[in-house]
Amino acid sequence: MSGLAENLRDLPALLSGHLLLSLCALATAAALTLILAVAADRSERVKRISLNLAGTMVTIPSLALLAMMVPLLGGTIGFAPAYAALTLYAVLPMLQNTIAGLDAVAPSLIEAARGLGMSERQILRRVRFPLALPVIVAGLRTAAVWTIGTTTLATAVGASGLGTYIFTGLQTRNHGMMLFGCFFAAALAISLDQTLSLLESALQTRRRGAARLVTAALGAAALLAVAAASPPLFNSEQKRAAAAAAPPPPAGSAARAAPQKPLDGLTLTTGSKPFIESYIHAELLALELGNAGATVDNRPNMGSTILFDALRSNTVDCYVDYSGTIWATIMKREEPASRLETLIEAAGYLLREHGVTTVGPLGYRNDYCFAMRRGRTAALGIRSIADLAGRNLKIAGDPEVFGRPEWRRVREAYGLESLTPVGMQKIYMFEALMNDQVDAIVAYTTDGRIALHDLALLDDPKQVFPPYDAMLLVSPQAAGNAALIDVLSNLVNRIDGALMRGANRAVDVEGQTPEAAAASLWNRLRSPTPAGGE
Amino acid sequence: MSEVVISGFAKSFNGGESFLLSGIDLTIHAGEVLVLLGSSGSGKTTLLRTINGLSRPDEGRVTVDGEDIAALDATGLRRSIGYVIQGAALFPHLTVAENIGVVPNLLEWPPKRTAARVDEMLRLVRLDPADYRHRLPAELSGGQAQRVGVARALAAEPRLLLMDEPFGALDPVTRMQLQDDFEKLQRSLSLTVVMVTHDMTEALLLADRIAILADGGLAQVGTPEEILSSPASAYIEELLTTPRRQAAELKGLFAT
Repeated sequence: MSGLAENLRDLPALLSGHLLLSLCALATAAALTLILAVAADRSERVKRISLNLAGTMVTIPSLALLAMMVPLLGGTIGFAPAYAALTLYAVLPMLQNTIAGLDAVAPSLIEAARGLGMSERQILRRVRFPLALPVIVAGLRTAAVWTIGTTTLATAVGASGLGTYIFTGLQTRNHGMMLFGCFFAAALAISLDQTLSLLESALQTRRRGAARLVTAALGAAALLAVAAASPPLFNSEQKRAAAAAAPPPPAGSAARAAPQKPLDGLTLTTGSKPFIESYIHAELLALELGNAGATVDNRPNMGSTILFDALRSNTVDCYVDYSGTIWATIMKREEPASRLETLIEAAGYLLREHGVTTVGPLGYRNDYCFAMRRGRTAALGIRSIADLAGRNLKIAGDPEVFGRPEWRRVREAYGLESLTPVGMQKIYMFEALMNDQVDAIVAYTTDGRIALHDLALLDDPKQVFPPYDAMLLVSPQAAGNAALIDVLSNLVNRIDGALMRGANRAVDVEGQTPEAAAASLWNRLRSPTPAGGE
Repeated sequence: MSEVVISGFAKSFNGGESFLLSGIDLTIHAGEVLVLLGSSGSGKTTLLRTINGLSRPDEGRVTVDGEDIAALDATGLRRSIGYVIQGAALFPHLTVAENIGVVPNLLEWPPKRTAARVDEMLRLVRLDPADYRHRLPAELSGGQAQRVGVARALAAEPRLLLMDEPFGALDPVTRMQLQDDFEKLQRSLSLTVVMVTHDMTEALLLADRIAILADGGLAQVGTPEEILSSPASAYIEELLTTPRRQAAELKGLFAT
């Protein structure tokens, strides 16, 4: 497998980040559980309320709970929101088991303990707790396996973990990478579960030495994880200090020593959403910034609004978004506007409302489009979206598309009520189309697979789909750094649709890594021949 | 030795509307074995649990050696009174030695003193310390567990021992042995004992005095001889039928 070496390279950081996050969340949840269980033991009301609350946490889909933590923590991404969500998530199995275990102790034993002169607290500590321990540890084990699994989703809020392999592997059709991540997540879950089961049997058979040994082993694992994961953990702090303290480019910089680079000593954070083009954007930014001397912390696979929240709260310094996305999702505008109008209004809105500066467009658009197989369009006599009206056809798109206002508008404008939308991950859309499981797809104009499968794009005569210009955004804090803006400007208006399609295709079809595709794109941008307009 | 005085005692099960027990006046003399006898639901266990404060009277008061127990610290009181319950109720996660050492530990005895006391107690209930000290309750027979239960109750040198159907769940042979051993133990330690049972034969064999509970009050209090010779009611007469018939049948069997 070609990617194995690369996968292994990232393993120490991702594995330790994963372990550290899981262990911290579990330890906190265990402490929280203990406090809640003792309080619940004294009051039926506390018991009812805390169990209901913990139960409610679990009914929230884990990804949503993770995403909710970002705005709740003021736009912070990475460890903190993931830690908070995972902790809340892990409380339920532990609390349920602890309460059930404490309640299940035979009344005759409690009567005996009371009759011998134990106080209620002594009964809890000396009789009920030890007797409930197997049930409590069973809850801990459930929570542990659960947490290790859910931590894979924490990559969506920018936390480092094995989920990076799974999400990126899925989106780039790199099954080896996905399995690699799954394997280590499973191995981690199994080893943690087994360790806890050792702890349980040691406690059960009263081998205190063995119990201490297992506890020490867990502690050592946590310490190792801290040691391995600490650079990215502390980076964000350093970065903030650096970004704030970054001096404006000195006027007499020419007089300075030659090897001085404009962004030397700066650590900058960028991020991507979980799809190929976004990965390439982040890698491209990393190359450009790295070339200027900065250290780049790339947080892949983040949720769309999470990434934007992180940018406006200065947790992420820069990333690439789309004018159409800003228009519809952030500005909540319904009516479409021209390409230029959308771009200008979006940039103005971002600056005004969120202090986010638009460095400029990258130069290409990645619009929504309707695509069909050529044979099919010929047979049905379809050329534009208008020709789909009244037909009983299936159309696939990623689930987000069908929830967007654009979809509603397209349906109304062309009378597409007869179409059946089928939501699926973008990467499965093309297979579904080529296997004739669906008749049309809502694709993206820069998708590498359109050319590969020689698909027909349907005209949009009413211009209902808004333009999606790729636009390079920087955080309010980063916008104050003129040298940074200067470096990023190198990417403005340099990439046309063909270049981006080629890069996407290199990853999606030819199996290159986003890093490699970005590198060849970046090298082309730096070569003397101009990239050319659209 | 301790003297227990129960006076004007009443206990309601629904907040004062109707009473499980009422108008109970009973003195348990120092050094005697008083058996509380009654059918299930007669309130005999409730009355027993009142003596160490596990149950609170709705009316009346209980004194131990002249002190009103309502004024005493409940846990301190219970640590000074031995308590044996049906089925022994040993703590399954603790060894025999740790079970017997529970009250000494609560009283923060030095470990050496506790260890010595545990061995002494095991010998007292006729279990070999070397063999039994480290066993878990799951590794004991019913009779052995009940012996450990008695040892646990006596470990902190109480002068008063409360026993709730201590020999209830045992087979007849074990039961006889334990009853026998108990009598010797009680005499050698001159303990004051309050024992609850529903078995008239057991009461007649072990009690210095028997207090019979019926219809929410004391039906008769007296020595086994007094109760046998002049039962105070038809109900008590009926309670005596079984032991009398057993005695007669046994006598007949031995005569042949």
